[in-house]
Amino acid sequence: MEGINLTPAESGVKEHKDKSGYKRLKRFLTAATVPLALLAVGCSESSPKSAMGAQGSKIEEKQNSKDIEKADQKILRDCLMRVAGGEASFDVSEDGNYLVRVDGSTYYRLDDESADKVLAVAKENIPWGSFKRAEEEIQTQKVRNAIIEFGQIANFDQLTPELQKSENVRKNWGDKEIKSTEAGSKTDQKWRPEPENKINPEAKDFL
Amino acid sequence: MDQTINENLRAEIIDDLGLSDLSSIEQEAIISDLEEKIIEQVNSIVLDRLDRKERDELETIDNDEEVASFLQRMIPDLELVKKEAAIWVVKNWREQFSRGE
Repeated sequence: MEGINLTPAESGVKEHKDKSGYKRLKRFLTAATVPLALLAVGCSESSPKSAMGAQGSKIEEKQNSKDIEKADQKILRDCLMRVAGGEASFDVSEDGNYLVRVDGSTYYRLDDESADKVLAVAKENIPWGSFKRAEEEIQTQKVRNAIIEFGQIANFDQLTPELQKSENVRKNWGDKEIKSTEAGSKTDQKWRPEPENKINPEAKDFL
Repeated sequence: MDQTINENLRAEIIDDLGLSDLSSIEQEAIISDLEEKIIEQVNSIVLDRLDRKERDELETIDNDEEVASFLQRMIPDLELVKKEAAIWVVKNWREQFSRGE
């Protein structure tokens, strides 16, 4: 396997026995790892021995690259969704560009190139398990910064109809709020919706 | 992990490994065994990449936060190690399975 020497583990039992006194790491790994998720990765990225020869390998290769692409898309989507704070602030345009609302105000557009750069940042900061929530927040923050750095600011006309609708709803709600505040309405002041959370806890990546 | 995601993953794994015809107890046993092997494999690779002094240092660390920080320093590609370990374990299992062991 490229980049990682598995030989000691493969030659295995003896090598492992020599280090059997070292229990701390295993305890940590058991607590901090989701082996089921790893097993799923192992399944999707390992290919069964193909009896179809080279053609089979090519199909497997294609399938593997599709799987990786799919996994990458999920990572990116989840991160963008968390930065946006929800579906109402995130969409994909007809030409395939991501549109994401950052800091509850400005929309950024990510074309293929900038999306790749943001994805790279997201992958560099994938939560690795032990303090998942905090690590996820760090990842979200880094992705937010990357969007601002690599994305292009999108104006209202460049938003999808769904996003434009959301913005109009927000604007109308905001106008009403201003008017009601100006009018000194006490009833309106009794209830305020929660400010949009930048991190959507429902949209977390489990890997 | 979310229960639904967990169940979906389990179903995909069972399907992928061709365990659908086995009883749920057998499926569970195989999955648990593979999970354990993955942890063993990661453990083994990481320990192998540390020298004795570093292993001893790791052994003295009490809390998980410090272990995480230690590993981040010593094994910056831990996520890749985990992934490669998982792939290796599954491949190995498939090979053994196809040999009928």
